Amino acid sequence: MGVEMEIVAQEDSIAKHGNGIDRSVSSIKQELSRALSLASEQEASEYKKLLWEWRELRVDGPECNSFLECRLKALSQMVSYINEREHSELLSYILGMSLWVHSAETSNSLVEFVVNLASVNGGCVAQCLDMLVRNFLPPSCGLPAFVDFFSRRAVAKGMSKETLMQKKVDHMNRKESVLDCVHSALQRISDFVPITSMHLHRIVLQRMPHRIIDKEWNALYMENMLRLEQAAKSEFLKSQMLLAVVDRLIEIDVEIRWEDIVKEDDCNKVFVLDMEFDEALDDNEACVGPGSEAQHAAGISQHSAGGSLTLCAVADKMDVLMDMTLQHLQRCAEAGRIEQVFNILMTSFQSTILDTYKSKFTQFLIFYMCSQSPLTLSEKFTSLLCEILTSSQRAPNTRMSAAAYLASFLARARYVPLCIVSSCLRRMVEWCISYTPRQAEKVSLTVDTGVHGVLYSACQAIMYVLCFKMRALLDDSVERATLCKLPLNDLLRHSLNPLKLCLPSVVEEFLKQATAAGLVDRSLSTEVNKNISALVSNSFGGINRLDMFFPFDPYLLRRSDRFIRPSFLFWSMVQSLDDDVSDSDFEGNRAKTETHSSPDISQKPQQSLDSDSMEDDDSVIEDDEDLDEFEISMNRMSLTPRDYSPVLRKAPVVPLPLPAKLTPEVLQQYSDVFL
Amino acid sequence: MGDVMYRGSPTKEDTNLKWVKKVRVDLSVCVHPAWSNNVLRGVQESLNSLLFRYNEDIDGVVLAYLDLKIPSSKSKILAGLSPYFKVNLTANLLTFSPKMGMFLEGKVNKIEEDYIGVLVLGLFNAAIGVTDIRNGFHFFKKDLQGSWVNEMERHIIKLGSVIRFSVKSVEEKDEFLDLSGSLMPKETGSLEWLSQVKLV
Repeated sequence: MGVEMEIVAQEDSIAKHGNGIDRSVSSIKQELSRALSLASEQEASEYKKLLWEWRELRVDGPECNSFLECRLKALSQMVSYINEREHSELLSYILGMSLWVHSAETSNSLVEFVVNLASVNGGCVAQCLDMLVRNFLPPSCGLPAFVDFFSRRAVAKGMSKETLMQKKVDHMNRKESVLDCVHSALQRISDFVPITSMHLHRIVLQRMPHRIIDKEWNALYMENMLRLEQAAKSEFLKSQMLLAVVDRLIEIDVEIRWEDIVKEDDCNKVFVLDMEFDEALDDNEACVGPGSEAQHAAGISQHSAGGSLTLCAVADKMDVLMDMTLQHLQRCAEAGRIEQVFNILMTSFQSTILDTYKSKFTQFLIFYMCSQSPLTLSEKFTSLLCEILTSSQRAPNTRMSAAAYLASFLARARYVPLCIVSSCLRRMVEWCISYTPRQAEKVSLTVDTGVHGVLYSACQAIMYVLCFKMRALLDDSVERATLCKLPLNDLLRHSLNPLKLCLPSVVEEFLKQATAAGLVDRSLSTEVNKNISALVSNSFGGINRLDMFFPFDPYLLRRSDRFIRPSFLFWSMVQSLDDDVSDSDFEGNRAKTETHSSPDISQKPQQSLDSDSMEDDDSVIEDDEDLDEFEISMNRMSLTPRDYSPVLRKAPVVPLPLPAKLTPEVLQQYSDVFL
Repeated sequence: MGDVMYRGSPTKEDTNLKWVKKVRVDLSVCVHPAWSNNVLRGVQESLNSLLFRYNEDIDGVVLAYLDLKIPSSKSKILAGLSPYFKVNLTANLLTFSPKMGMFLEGKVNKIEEDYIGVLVLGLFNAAIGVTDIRNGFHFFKKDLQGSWVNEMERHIIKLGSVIRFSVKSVEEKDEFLDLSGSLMPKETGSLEWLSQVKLV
C-alpha cells in the first residue's frame, strides 16, 4: 500500500507544479535513454555531457532543484537501462546525494529512484542500501562517510568545513521528515527485495560512527538503528540491531571508570556540559533535536584529539544513549514485543554483558525489562543466572559474575516476587552445601578465592540478598517458613569457611540481621568478629579478598534514571524499615547517620535527588579520609558504611558513600577529597 | 566461508522444478573448538553461512542442506593458532541454479513503466526490462494500479500475477544473484493466460 500512497504523493506534486515538470520529464527521458544506452559505445558524448552537467551543478543555484527533480524523476522511470558497470560514475553521483540537503520533491524523487533501482538491479542493492544508511546522519556531522557528493565537491573547491557545519541547524530541523523518508525507503526495498536483510545489517554495522565521536551523532545513529529495529520485518535484522546497540552501550560504559569519577577535577567544564541538557532534554525525542545546542564546534576535533573526552562528556553520552534505548524498550513493551526483545537481550547478556568486567549501566536495560513483566521475566532471568552459577561447564569468572548479578538483582529489584527470591536462595544454598572440592584440591584445603571463588561469591550473594530482603521474607508467612528451613548454619560453617573471604561489610550486616531474627547461631558472630580483625590486620585488601562488584548498584545517570528509580530498592529503604524494628543492641555504638524520613524515595521530586547518595549523608566529606578507605566504601558498594572493625573504629569517620548521581556538586565533593 | 571445503565432485539430481537441483556433496568443515561438545551445531553454524549465496563449486545458490551425515566420530585437529578440528561429512544441498535461456516462474511484485519485477521462489528478484517485453504489451495505469496489457493476446500481467519468463542473464555480485528476464518468447507470460491459450 505504501507504494501507492507514494505514487499519489508524487502525482500530486506533479500536478502542483503544473504540467511544466511533467513535460520536461518526458523530454528528458528520451534524452536520457539515448545517453544511457550509448554510454558504453563509441558515441558516449551524450552520456559524458550528462555526467558533466551533474558534476558541475551549482547546488545553491536557483535551477538546481528543478534540474535534479526532473532528472531523478525521469531516471526513476528508466532504471532498467541502468547497469552498475557502464553507468558507475553516474550512479556514484546520484547515490552520493543527501536527503538532508535538497528540497522535499527532489528528495522524494531520489528515494523513488533508489527504491526502483534496488528492485530492478540485484547488483545495485548493496549500493542503494548503503546510500540510505549514509543518510542516517546529515552531511553537517562532518564525518567523511556521511558527507554528500555535492558538499564534498564544494569543499574540494574551497568551501570551508565550517560553512558545512553551520548548516547543521537547517539539517536538524528537517530530521523527522528525512528519517521518515529513509526508513520508509528501507522498508519498501526490503518488501521488494527479500535478500535485503542479509546485506543491511552488515552495512549498518559498518557505517556505525566510532564511539568517541560527539554524542549527538552517536545518538542520532543509534536512533536510526532503533527505528530500523522497530520497523524491520526480519527477525534477524531486529536482533542484530539490538545486539549492536547493546554492544555500543557496553563500549562506552567501560570507558567510564570509577577511578575517573573520583579523579576528574575539571569541574567547570563538567558543569557546562551538564547544564546544557537541563531544559532541552526532558521531552522524549529531543535528545538530538535542535535544542541540544552548545556543542563544541565539532565532534571532529575531539575525534582527532584521540579521545580526550572528559569523563562527564562520556557519562553524558552514555546517559543520552541509555535514555533512548530504555525508551525504545518501553515502546517494545507497549507493543507487546516484550518476550521477544527480552530473549534477544538475554543472548546479548550472555555473550557480552555478563563477562564485561564491572560494566555499570548497560545491565540496567535488563533490570528495566524485567520490571515490565516482573513475574515471568524475573523468573527467566534469575533461573538463567542460577543455571550459569551452578554449571560446571562454565568458566569460573562467568559463574562468579552470575553470582554477583543474581545477588544484586534479587536485592535491588523491588518488583521481584518474594517466591522467586526464596527459590533462588534455596537453590544457591543447596548448591553451596553440596559443593565439595575436587580430590586434588582437597589435599590442601586452602581458603583461597582463586580456587573456590565460585563458592565464595555464591555465599556472598546469599548473604547480600538476605541483607536486603530478609525482613520482607520474614514478614510473609509462607516465605518465613521456607527461610527458616534454609540450612544457613551449615552453610556458614562450611569447611571452606566462606565468612572469612566474603566482604566484611556484607558478612557483618547479614549476621546482625540473621542473629536478630534467630536464623543463625549467636556464636557465629563472635567467631566472625575475630576472623575479621585477623583479616584486617594482615591481608584485608590483599589477594585473597573476594573481588566483587554488584552490577545493580544505584544508577548514576541522571536523565535515564527515571526508568530505573521507581523499581529500585535503595539501601536506605531497607535501613529505615530496619530501624523501626531492629534491636540494635547487637552493636550499640552504631552510628545512625542515616536520616531518611521516608523509604519512598521514588516520590521525591527529581531536583532533590541530585545530592542523594546511598547513605544520603550531608556530612560525609572529611578531609582526612584516605584513598584506601574510599576504596573500601567503593567496593562495599553502598552497604552501610559502618565502622566494622576495631581498626577502622578508631577513626570515627563515615566513609564517603557512592554518589547516587553524577552531578557537578557530587563530583566537586569527590575531587575535594583528593585535593 | 573459508571453513567449508568441497571434496570430490558433487552429484546432481533433478527435482520437480527444473531450476532447483538436489546436490549430494562431500564436505570438510573446520569447526571451532568452542563447539566440541556439540559438533552438529558447530557444523550447522558453518553451513548456514552458505545459505542464499551463490557458490561456484556447486554452480548455484544453496537453498537448504539436508541429511547431514558425519560418518566418523573421529576428526583431525588442525595445527595452527587455535585448534580447529576438521569434520568430514556428506550432505544433500538444495540449490537454485538458473541458466540463461531457462524458463523460470515467479510472482510479480512490482510493475513500473519500464520494468516488471518478479520474485522467484519468494526469495530471488528478477527484473524484466521494458526492452525485453515483447511487442504488443504496453504499460497501462488505472486507479494507481499499473499493469502490462496485451490486447491482441487478451493477456494481462499485474501485481500478484504468477508469470513464466525466460532467463536473459544471470550475474553474480558479492555472492548474490542478479537475474534479468525476458518476455520475448511466446511461451512466456502469466500462467493463467498460458493455460488458457493451451486449452483453446
